[in-house]
Amino acid sequence: MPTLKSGVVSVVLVNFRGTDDTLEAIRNLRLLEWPAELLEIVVVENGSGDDSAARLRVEAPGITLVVSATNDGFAGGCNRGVAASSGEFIALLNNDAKPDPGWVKAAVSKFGESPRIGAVASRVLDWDGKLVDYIGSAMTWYGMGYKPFTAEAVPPKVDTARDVLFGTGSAMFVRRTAYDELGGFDERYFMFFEDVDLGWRLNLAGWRFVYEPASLAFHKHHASMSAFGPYKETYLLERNALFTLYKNIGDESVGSALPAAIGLSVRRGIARGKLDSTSFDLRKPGGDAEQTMEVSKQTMAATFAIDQFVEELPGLRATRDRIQAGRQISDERIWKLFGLADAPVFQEEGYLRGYENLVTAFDVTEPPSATNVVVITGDPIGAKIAGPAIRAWNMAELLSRHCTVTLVSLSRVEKVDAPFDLVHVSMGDDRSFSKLEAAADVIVFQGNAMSVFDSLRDSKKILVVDLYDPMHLEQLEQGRELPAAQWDKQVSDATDVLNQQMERGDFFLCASDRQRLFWLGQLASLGRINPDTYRGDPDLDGLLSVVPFGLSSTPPEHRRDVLKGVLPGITEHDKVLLWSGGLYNWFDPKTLIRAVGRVSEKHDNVRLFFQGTKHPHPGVPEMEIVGESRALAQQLGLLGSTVFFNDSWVDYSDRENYLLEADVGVSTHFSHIETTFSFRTRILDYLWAELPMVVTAGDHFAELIEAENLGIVVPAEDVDALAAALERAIFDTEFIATVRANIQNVRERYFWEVALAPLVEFVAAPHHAGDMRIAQGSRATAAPNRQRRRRSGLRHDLGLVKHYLQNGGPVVVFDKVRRRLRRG
Amino acid sequence: MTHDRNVLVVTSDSLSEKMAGPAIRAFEIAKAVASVANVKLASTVHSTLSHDGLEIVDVSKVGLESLVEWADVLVFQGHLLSSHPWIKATDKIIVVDIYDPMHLEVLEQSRGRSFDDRVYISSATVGVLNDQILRADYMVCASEKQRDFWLGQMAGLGRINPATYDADTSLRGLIDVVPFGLPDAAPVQNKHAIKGAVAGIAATDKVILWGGGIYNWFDPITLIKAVEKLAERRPEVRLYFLGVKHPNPHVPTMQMAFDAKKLAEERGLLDRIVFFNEGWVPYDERADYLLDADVGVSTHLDHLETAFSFRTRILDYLWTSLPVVSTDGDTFAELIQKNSLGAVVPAGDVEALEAALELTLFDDEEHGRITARVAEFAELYKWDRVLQPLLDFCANGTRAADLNANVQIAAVAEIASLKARVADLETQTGGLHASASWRITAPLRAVTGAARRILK
Repeated sequence: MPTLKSGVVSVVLVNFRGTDDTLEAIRNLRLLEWPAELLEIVVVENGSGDDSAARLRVEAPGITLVVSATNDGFAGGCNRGVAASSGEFIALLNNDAKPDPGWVKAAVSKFGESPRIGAVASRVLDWDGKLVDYIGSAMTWYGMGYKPFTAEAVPPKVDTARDVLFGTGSAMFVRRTAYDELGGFDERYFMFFEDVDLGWRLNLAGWRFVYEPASLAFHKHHASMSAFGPYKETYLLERNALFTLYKNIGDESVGSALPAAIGLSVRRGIARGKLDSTSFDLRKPGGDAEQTMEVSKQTMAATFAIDQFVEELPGLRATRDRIQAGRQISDERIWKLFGLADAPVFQEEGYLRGYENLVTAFDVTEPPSATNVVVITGDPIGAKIAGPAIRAWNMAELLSRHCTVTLVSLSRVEKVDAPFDLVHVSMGDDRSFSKLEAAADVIVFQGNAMSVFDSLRDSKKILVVDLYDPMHLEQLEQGRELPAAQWDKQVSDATDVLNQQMERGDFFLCASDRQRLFWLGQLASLGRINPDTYRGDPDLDGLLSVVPFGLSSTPPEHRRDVLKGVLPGITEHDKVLLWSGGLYNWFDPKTLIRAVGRVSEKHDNVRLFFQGTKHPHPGVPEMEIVGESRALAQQLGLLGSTVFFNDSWVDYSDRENYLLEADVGVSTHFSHIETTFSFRTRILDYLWAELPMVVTAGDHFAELIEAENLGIVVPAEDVDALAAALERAIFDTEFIATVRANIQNVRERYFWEVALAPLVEFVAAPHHAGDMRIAQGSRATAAPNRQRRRRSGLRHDLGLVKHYLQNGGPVVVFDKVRRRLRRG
Repeated sequence: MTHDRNVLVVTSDSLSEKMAGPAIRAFEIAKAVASVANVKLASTVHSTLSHDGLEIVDVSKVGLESLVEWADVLVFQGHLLSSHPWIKATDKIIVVDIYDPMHLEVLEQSRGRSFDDRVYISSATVGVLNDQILRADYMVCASEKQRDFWLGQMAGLGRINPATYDADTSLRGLIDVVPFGLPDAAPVQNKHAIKGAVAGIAATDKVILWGGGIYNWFDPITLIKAVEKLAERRPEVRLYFLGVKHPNPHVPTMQMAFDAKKLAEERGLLDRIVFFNEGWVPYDERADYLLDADVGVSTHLDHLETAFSFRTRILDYLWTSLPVVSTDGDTFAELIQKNSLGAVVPAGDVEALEAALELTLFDDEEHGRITARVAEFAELYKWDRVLQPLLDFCANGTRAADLNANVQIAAVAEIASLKARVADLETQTGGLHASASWRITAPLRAVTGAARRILK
């Protein structure tokens, strides 16, 4: 393989006796809004047996021409072309297609959004832009991909980018590395469905195939197939569908899907040939002396297809083994990309009856059942959202890629868009919760959930306990202002709550390596570190994993001014020290206020802003320290001129505006026991926004900041050291540049996808802890994602055949079906 | 000189000329505390040791009552409170030395026993430690990592509560770090014990020293493989395992020791490149071996024990200014890395280990630089320095705030549940229990016996 040229797009066109079309396509490619030096045009002359090669050579200078003596089909032609190309991205374009000027630009910009995007599907319309060719993909349960809405009028609603199973080979893009990893198109297909197969394999390998409507092309229809009889097309479609299904469907389903698909193929052939399959019944008289009968080639096409599938099995088996061994994505996830899989496609009464028999007997139209996960947070979910809920939200979002997820808040749920269910259950409402518990396979919870729901305490489901918040240590400070007896009770209650869930949990999460040591100790006190949990897991990662708080991999954006030039007393030229997050007793804002006072004697443009004083959770009281800090700022003459307090709490989505207007992020605390094991999520905000940091020594992040040079770490309660550090972090431009560069590297470790990986891994194969001898046999304990739901029996009664015939689903005439099925 | 306070230091290890870790530690504690209090050192099993100015008592026969009565402060390691539960009821100030997380160690140590026995041993050991933590007025452990761990265990037992927190928000007054220390005296070599003394090791050879026993959580296998490869290029390299058999006959030879020897034999390295010392080297003869080495080595597997262990063999390397090559993951690995005292390699990585050994052995300049840094760093680990927090407590410490105030701690229920779990187990093995109680108790006896020694 030649060295790939970064940023270059190699357009591969396959020519078979359509040289005029090809030349027109090349002319149109020259008109793209795309730098010529980043465009490579590769034409594969696919054994046309005419003057195509000579004409292309003369009439299309500046292209890479690959001449094949034989017709290798679309699949082989493309592979040849790609092999001769050198771009980072491959663009496939049918020679009878016309790209919109923005075709390439939109696709390449989509690739830029994520390295996981392995391919981009273009929007394809007919030549006049009136009818749909491709605006999304769908897949039947029997291996025939289709293009919904093909040959229908373009829907008026705005189309949006989304993940698809496959794109159409007539206009799509593939990252070259992904193409090579997959070995390109499967040349056994010759033509039809090779693009469906490539897309399915690409998804299985963990790449995303994204439909980008802004990447647009127009397609003439059927220039290349007209010379062949339609039964040959049927043959290829029937055969290639079986190839596709057999290679790609998971082990759990192949045993039921494949026989049903073969049966359906036969049924289709009989129906197309209008044969009566009861005609060999002994009781039917006549024809006994004739050894042959006339049969439609359409019927034989299905039979030949199955026979050739049988012929190819050894090679297909090897391919299947390789694909299944390398799969990154479960069939539950793939099924979501199938769209309407329960689509008979061919409309004929006898065929539909057979279809009905097959799906009822083999249970092939129900999606593989996903693991049901319930994630519980004590915090409210809405526009204003604090740490615990943010964490639970991200867990729910990531887990929903493979599982069916319900996120439960014990305090409040506002209406927000989410790719999972959102439910509010009040503490103690065990009637509501027990229903969720019953439906769940895995329950992930933080905080007090176990102590407020009996059904969770007694649950035999797999329980994941999120211990990122050592709340018994927090209570030591939080309860300080209470009468002694109540303080005692709060700490001992929190200890009890934690001990209770630690005695029962199957898998535990904590936020940092230091926390892990601490929680191992508490688990040890409860006898949870024992030969059962230790067996086969000598570092106990399978019992307790570090899942830090994460941050979004999408960088923050400044959408509106919030501080500089907005808040009276803070101008655009001021330097802002930001205190992100709330103010609690274990923090030390007073040393900070004094230090800022010290700095402002030298620099009159330094401002300190406390972003949150009132927690969104109504149960979290304003702590004494808030009033004390205000009073101190007042007393030092800094309040409203140098030191500012936000009286409320900043919306989650608004906080990036504050972060991006700040110059330094600060966090100062006392050296309490809580400090040692805390994980200050505000520091993640600073990392996210590349803010140099000044923090007190003693916790996880202080160690990180020191080790990676992300800011300055100062001793607790040291005004002088803090003032000096602040001054440097605000004004030393060289230092600031270094720190920002370092932060860029470190923050990737905290992207949610990375941070939550141990949880995702556990939920993919959930199990009870080694020492939890819980009665086996519940669905949850028996590898939940390997089971299929039993069909309800309601959808697929015989009445449905009529339903299909009259209105439902993809009711189409046969012609239209053919268009749908094939790549065209 | 007479002090205000009487401090009794108790070990359940043998006090003699040939001492293992726990006895050494108790002995050093007693000597140091003598500067702030009147001290007596007692062994509950055996003592033949004497030391000027220090009263050393063998209480295996006479009992502890009068000594405890005499003491204001009691410092002990091991399972003293389980064998002498009456001590818990006294109002003495009790200091527990939990530098050895034996409930984690037994997970490996008990391999080879029946699974039920292992579960029993594990629960029983947790019970012993929980019992201590519930009664301790002050605790010392060996490293900050261990302290984080013990804080968790204390939290589970309710010892982190408003009373203890109010007394000291950092909780250093309840649990602090006292690592194992180094002798004040510099090491002296009285004779060559390895070079030119062991058949097959010449005076000019380069010696890699494994300065202790071979236990299951160590990884001599990767080391032997690395040395084998290194010896192909550097024929003068030798690997010497210092301690194979433990002086305490209760400590069984572990599987890993057999495996290591077998591998060396299979590869044709035994007594040519790789050597095993079959005895246990007397404490005061260690220097003869250590000073014959060029590099000290410690390789282990990625086990739970690793994170919390404090490998005293590495202190010996520090004491004798040996560059250290160690597997990553424990307390010392961090220090070695941070202070450039040798090299740290990933677990199980033969090539990395080979490269690290070659660099530290054969780059003379680098060897010299490391040696100098090790010598400087070792100053921080002198016994009188590391024992300072304990000495302060012995001089001024009081009963813990929560124990003193009879604070109702959350632990009661948890202890009950733990006891229930142990009881369950006894029921499960109940068929045997009556007729074969020896079977149930013997492993516990052996393990608690084993656990009181230090596992270097």
